[in-house]
Amino acid sequence: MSYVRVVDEFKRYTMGENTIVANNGITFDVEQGQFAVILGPSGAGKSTVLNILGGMDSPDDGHIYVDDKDISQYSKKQLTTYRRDDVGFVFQFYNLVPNLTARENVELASQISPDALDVDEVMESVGLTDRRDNFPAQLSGGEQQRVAIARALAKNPKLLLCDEPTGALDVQTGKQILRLLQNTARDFNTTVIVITHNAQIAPMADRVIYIHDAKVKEIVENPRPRSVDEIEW
Amino acid sequence: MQKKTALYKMIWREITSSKARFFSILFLILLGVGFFSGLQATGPNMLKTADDYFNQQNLYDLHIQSNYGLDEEEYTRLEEKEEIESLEGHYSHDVLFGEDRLVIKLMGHDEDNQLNQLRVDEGRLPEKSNEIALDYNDVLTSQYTIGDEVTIYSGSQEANLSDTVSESTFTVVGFVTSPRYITNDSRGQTTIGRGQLDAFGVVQADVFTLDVYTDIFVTFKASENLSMYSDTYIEQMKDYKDAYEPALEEVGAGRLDKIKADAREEIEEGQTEIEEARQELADAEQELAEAKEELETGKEELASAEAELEDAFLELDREEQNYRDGVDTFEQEMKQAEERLADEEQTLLESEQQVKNGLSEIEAGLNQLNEPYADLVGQETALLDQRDDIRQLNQQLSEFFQTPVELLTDEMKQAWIDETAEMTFNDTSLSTLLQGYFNGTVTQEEITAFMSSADAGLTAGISELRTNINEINNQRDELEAQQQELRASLEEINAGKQALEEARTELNNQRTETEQELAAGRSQLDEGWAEYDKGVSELEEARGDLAEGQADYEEGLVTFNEEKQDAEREIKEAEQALIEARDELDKLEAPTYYLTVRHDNGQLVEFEENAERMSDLATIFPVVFFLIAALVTLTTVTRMIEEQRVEMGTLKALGYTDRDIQKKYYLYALSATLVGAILGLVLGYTLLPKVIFNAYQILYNLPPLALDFYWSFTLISLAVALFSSLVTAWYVLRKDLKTTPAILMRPKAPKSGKRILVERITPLWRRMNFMQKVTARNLFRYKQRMLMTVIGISGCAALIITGFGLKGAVEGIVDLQFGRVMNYEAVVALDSEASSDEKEAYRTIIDENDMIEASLMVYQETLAANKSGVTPQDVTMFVPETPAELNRFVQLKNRTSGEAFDLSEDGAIITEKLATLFEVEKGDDMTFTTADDDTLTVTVGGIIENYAGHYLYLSPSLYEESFSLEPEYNAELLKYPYSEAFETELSDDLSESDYVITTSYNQSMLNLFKDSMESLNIVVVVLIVAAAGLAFIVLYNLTNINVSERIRELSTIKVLGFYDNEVTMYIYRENIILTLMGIVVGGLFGRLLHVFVLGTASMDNMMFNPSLDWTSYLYAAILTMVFSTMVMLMMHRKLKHVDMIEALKSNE
Ligand SMILES: Nc1ncnc2c1ncn2[C@@H]1O[C@H](COP(=O)(O)OP(=O)(O)O)[C@@H](O)[C@H]1O
Ligand SMILES: [Mg+2]
Repeated sequence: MSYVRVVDEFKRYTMGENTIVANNGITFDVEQGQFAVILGPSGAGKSTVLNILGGMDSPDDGHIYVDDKDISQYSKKQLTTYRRDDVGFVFQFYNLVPNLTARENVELASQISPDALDVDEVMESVGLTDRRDNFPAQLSGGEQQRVAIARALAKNPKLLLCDEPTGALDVQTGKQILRLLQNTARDFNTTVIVITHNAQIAPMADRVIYIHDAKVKEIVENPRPRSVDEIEW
Repeated sequence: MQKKTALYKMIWREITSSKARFFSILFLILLGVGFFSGLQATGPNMLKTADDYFNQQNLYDLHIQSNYGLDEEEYTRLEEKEEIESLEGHYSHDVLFGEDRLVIKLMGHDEDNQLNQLRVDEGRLPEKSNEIALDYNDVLTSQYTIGDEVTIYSGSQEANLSDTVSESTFTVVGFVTSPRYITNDSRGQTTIGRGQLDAFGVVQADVFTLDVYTDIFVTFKASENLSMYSDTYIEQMKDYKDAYEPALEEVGAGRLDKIKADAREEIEEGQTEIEEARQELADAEQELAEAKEELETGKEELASAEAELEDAFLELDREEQNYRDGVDTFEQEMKQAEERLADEEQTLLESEQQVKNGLSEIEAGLNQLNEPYADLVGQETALLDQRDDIRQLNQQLSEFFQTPVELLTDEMKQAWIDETAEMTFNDTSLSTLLQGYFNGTVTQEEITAFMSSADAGLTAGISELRTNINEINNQRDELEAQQQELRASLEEINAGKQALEEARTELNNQRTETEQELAAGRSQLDEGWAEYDKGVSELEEARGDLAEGQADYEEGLVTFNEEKQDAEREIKEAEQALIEARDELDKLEAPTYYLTVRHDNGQLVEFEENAERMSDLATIFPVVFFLIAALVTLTTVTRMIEEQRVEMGTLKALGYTDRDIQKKYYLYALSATLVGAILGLVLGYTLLPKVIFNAYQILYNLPPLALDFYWSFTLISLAVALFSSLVTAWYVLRKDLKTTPAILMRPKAPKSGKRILVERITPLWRRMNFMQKVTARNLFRYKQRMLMTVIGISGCAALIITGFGLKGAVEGIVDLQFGRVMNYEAVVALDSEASSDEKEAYRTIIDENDMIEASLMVYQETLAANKSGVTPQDVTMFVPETPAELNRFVQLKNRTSGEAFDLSEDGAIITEKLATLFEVEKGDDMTFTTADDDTLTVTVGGIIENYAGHYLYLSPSLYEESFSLEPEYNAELLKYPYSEAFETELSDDLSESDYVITTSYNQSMLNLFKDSMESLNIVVVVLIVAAAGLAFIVLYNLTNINVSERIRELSTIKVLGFYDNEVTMYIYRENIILTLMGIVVGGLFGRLLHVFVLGTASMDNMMFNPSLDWTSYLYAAILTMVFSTMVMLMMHRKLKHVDMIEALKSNE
């Protein structure tokens, strides 16, 4: 069985009299330790499905199995525990606590996680040992995103979800971040799902899920994913 | 126009989308304006209420009294004054009242009285001379109800109640309030009892029998349109007072002459009375002597009467004997005569009987003869007849025989047979012979023989009979002779009887005669006896009368002897009094007049001070609110502008002027401020003064508060409110509008993290856990907010501390006063004029009571302390009999230095507040005035701790020195371990003693005190409610802003998997620390506020306990924490529903 299974998932938003169907029967699997990419245009419903997968929201219909547990049935409290123990989240806009240093931002996550990794090791793995005592405002965008990833990783999550992590970064920095994420899947056997609207990233992934118009259009298995450096964009 | 509506719409949207902020500004302004206007208005409202009340009740402007009372002279002199509006003479007299001998001022009330009108609280005013209306104060209302019978007693034994009033028992008909007394407790000084009036009572003016008024009350035309608390009024009244005193003294000189003349006349009268009394005494003696003489004569007369009576008795007795003898003889003689007559009668009767017997015998004999005689005659006749018949028959037979028998018919034969059937002789019947004849058997001869023999036989028989008849006739003649004889003797007897009858009649006549004679004698004798008896009883009566007369005389003598002594002594005393009166008359001085205006009444002045005190309080509390309102506006507007930088930038870029952009924020702040201020004014002017005045109404007898509107306070509070909100808005806007649109439109760089000072203290920092570090850093990140929270919370804590502190300060003094300072339990007011027996009986009660540890006789009097610029104060003076003992009853220690005093050495000791008020220090001189208007100046030997009332403790030697008079101890302090049961027992014992006037127990005073302090709870509640409101608004608003500003951060940690309570704590941990800091700062701030409030709220006759109890801090801390926790719970709910996805979506 796949580690992550999204089965016929629906999400609707009611805006006055209109109903927007953000996810219209989404179904896909991701295997454990895979580096998966969700690809699709803006407004396709990518973030919606990722948020549901990350326990920040609940589907209106369908099931989401993570490690064979159906989180779509979870209560709010259970979802919180799920986020706390199993999920790492990386946002486009980093969302670091401005009043905490890089290291402290990471600590914020490790404090509450049951099997947290050593903060300094994680900092080193994202290459920020030197900047760990800096406040977010003193860091560049890439560095901030790396702190965000370190914060997500420090919890040693089973599932690392990234919503357009490179969206606000220049190409070079973006590449670094992607490399980091790819390595994470490899090295920690963490299941990583990355949202992007940049189709050029697709060759890096073990599995690419194309979402269009709130539906999964295609799922492409990539037996030989390439490394970041092999990709041009 | 279009633009404007758009602007208003925008503001409206802004207000509705940020209600919490809008209302927090509104409420803070409301609190500030409300408290300011309310507290400011309270003072003027209170004064206005009092002024209106006094005007309505027509309270006097000037009150005149004199030691001689006030007569027509004074009245007419005053009547001349044109400035006087009304003028009235009243009567009053201080008396003891009821079982407890309360001291009351009895006031005369006339229906026509216009001044000092009474307010009837219950029942009605007296309408009959035996009715009384009582003071509506606790002392009386707790003990009496309408319908009760009450008795009044003279306040001193020298004065007779009847000299002043015509009644002494009254029925309670109502309860009234007099505008002369506005407090519930104090009724002023008096010269009787304990020197302090407990209450007043109102009776009809007619009940007073005085010929002079005791009081004259005056109102002036000038006062009509003046507030009695205005300076003009005070000045004006002082001027009148100063002008009237000499005017009255002029009259007084004239009155003195009149009084002297009157007094002289009275002395003359007194002299005459003495003479009269002497004469009366002599007359009485004379009368007694006469009575004695009369008694002697009476005795003699009695003796002679007795002798006379004796003689009369003897004579009567003799005559009685004679009478009895006469009666005896008479009866004897009568008896004999009667006996004789009876004998004679007897004899006569006997002879009569014999005669009668004889006669009847003769008659019988005669009768016996009749039968045989008749027989014989009959026989003779029969025989004669038979012979006739036979002869006739013989004739016929002879003829018949002529006819032969054969010729005879049968019928004829039968007629013959039938006719001769009866013709029998010698058993042969003729018929048979005839038969035979007819039959032929008998011949005619036989028949003729038979006929002849029958005739012969019959003729023989007849002759025999004739002899017998003759014999009988002889016998009869003999008997008739005898009868004749007897009849003669009967005649004789009857004659004897006649004689006897005559003799008897004579005897009877004789008897009647004698009996009549005797009866006459008897009645004469009886008359004599009756007369004698009368004489005896008359004598007896005379004797009784005499004995009575004797007894009367003796009694009269004793009484006279007794009374003579008294009378002589009285005469002597009266003479002495007259001498003294003459002396006094020579010394007599002109009347002294006492003029008082309203402001000489301490109660009225104190009320004014209380009201003015409110205005002082009105400044400090609102400052706290306004300050915080300004700070909250600052944060709110800052936050609003920060949130709307883009909008502002856009507007600016579009070419809107700064003014247009600013307008929105100004209008926002302005509308919150104006609405808050208006609501604050409405609530402030109505609610607060009423709440505060309600508390004061426990002390004061005033009608409900008169509310008023004040432009000054309205404008001031509006100005301050607008300043605190609009100026802050301007300050924030000014900074932001200076920047270019481009900068504005770019999101403001998030406030970058900074190392804080604590981090440099590495050991400390290292010891803190992660969350603590985060909290610490966050705390210092928003310094402005931190400051504001601390100020807000500290304001809250300070208000609570002040509230409880104030309560403690006032309540505390009760415990200190009765627990620490006054160590005795009861004061027994004693009647110094009681007899020595009564005094001894009382002493036994006290001495024999084992529970009483100590007792101390004191002289107690209420003095007045006066000094210009200081409200006059009542001071209780105690002169203990043994001054060295006093410190067992009263703690004689200075509060600050702890120095202990000894009255026997230090002479005069006063209490702390008195010293403070009159600025007297140890060693200074201080002057007091007694109720008799004497002055007493003492050198202060010590100042001691005391909280309630003012006291002067004076040693007896100093008292003697000052008044050249020994103190008359009129009270005793008792010390014993308190228990309710014992006190009840003691008061029972004491109530039996006539020496005791009344006993006041410290415990009941303490309870009374504590009850009246309850009113302070209102103040505490007001302060706590205000504090709660403040804490809520500040915490809620600031936390709200904090949350909205850090919503991304909070969403982030939510995404990270922080549980709801962890999220709340993430932000609230800071608030808890700020709250704690606020409490600490509030403690300091509260202490300052407390001192300030106590200073302004202090009362003249009370010293508040200046130390602040730790419980006040504790309560403040707990309550503040409670408010903070409530805000936290509200925030918790809000945070739970934060949409983390939404918050994280965009880059702000
Ligand atoms: N909270 C929301 N309320 C209403 N509509 C939403 C909400 N979130 C997403 N949508 C709508 O759902 C659709 C899918 O959005 P999203 O999943 O964010 O797209 P993507 O991430 O692929 O750009 C969009 O049309 C968006 O407008
Ligand atoms: Mg998206």
